[in-house]
Amino acid sequence: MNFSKNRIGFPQRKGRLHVLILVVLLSLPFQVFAEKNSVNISTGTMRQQLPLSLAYGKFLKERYGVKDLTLSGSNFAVSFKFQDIKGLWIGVERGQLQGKVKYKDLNGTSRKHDLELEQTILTFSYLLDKSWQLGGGIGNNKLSRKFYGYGDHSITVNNIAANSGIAESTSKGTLTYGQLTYHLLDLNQDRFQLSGSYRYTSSVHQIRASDQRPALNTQGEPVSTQFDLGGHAWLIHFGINF
Amino acid sequence: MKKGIYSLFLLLLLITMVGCKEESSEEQAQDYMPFTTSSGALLHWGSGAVIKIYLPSDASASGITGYQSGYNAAVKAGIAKWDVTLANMGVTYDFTGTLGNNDLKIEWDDGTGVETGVLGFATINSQANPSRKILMTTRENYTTGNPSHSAAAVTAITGHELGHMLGIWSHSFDTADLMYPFLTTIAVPSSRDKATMQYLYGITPDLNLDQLDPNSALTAESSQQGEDSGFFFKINCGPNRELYGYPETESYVPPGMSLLRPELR
Repeated sequence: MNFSKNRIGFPQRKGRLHVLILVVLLSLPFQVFAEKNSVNISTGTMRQQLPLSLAYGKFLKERYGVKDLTLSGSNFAVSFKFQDIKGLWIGVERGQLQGKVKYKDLNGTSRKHDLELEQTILTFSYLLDKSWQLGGGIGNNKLSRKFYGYGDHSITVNNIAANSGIAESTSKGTLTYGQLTYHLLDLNQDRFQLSGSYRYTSSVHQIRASDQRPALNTQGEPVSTQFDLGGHAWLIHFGINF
Repeated sequence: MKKGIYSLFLLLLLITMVGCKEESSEEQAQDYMPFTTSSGALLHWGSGAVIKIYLPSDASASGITGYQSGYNAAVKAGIAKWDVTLANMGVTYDFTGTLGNNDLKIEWDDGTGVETGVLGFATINSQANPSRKILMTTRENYTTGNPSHSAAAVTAITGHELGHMLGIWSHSFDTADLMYPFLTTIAVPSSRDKATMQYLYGITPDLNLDQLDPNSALTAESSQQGEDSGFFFKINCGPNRELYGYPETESYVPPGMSLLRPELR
């Protein structure tokens, strides 16, 4: 058997063996940890409504007629409960949410803006009883906006190519949240859990006047604003306890 | 048992709130194009203005190389494209064939007096009389053989330049608009062109062009400034207020650039 020969489209067998050994070795301390403590791995879907009453949200509402801006997507989390600290879970969560602003421009052409929010969060939660869990978290997030339009308020033949069409802007910020979770279903002696949560997030990003797609004032000039990326969210997640 | 019923109810509720991804409907945007000068100053004539336009007759302009009989009518057709919008704004205009004491002058150039690729431009020079001018070319100076513009092109160019002169001192980012900075097949103001014009006339201008007159209370001076040597505009609007800007929609063709489309300023 030739292990070193690589064939296009298939992973190298020698490489696969290495990965397998590495996974087994890395999972050993995890299993030892799980024997004494508890580990919960969960994944789920989330839906978050952004407020449109202030700053950039208000600009989107007034300029593009946005009535409801909702981000939805999935998240994945790993939490640990130490044997010595009863009821307290500490973990890490990674989430990815997307949203769209669909509109018709003044010429009647259908356009859309895309929003994508990636977040990495350090989570804390406390099991109030068998069903209820109270939690919170702090973390950072990155917003990517793909917006159609223009950036500069003075467009000439020289800058029009850089100004018009779809431009992508990114911004980074921090977030905090509070969450109340109810475990809807516990199966196999709480090994498998289906849970529902309500979350309130606080997160604000700065959209600078020099941004590719800034907010514009009444005279159409770019102005610096803040984009409130917080708001109410609902989650359904499925978890496995070890 | 009770928990099971609660859980089922909550699960259904959450699935409704989280799972149902409603597609947001397409709302009507107010995506006006930019309309201020490069300095951010807003210049327009104000509602209720009466604009007296000097337009040379075909006979008086016939000596200019490339001038075609019928251009006079083509310019009038280009200006008329804005009639409905102007009526909504309460702005009226009339033509005069005599030069002097006009609000706006239409001037012809054989294409040699402008930079390569430029078909026309709108400008304000407070020291000239009249201070507001639309310069139209008779031909494309970069084209082999220098053919004269078609009447349709003259109409489109006039409509675009009048859009500047009325108050949109920038350009559109969309090829569907007459205020797009290159000549296309579009010869009439689009919905966005019209909506932008009407919107900006709802805002008090930094300078009302109707009041820009050597004899008015406003004092104005011009100078050559800026690295691109463009005509730099400076108006003193009172003791503590100065406006700087390019009332001309300045734009320069980069050296070595191959022009595929005639350029509108």
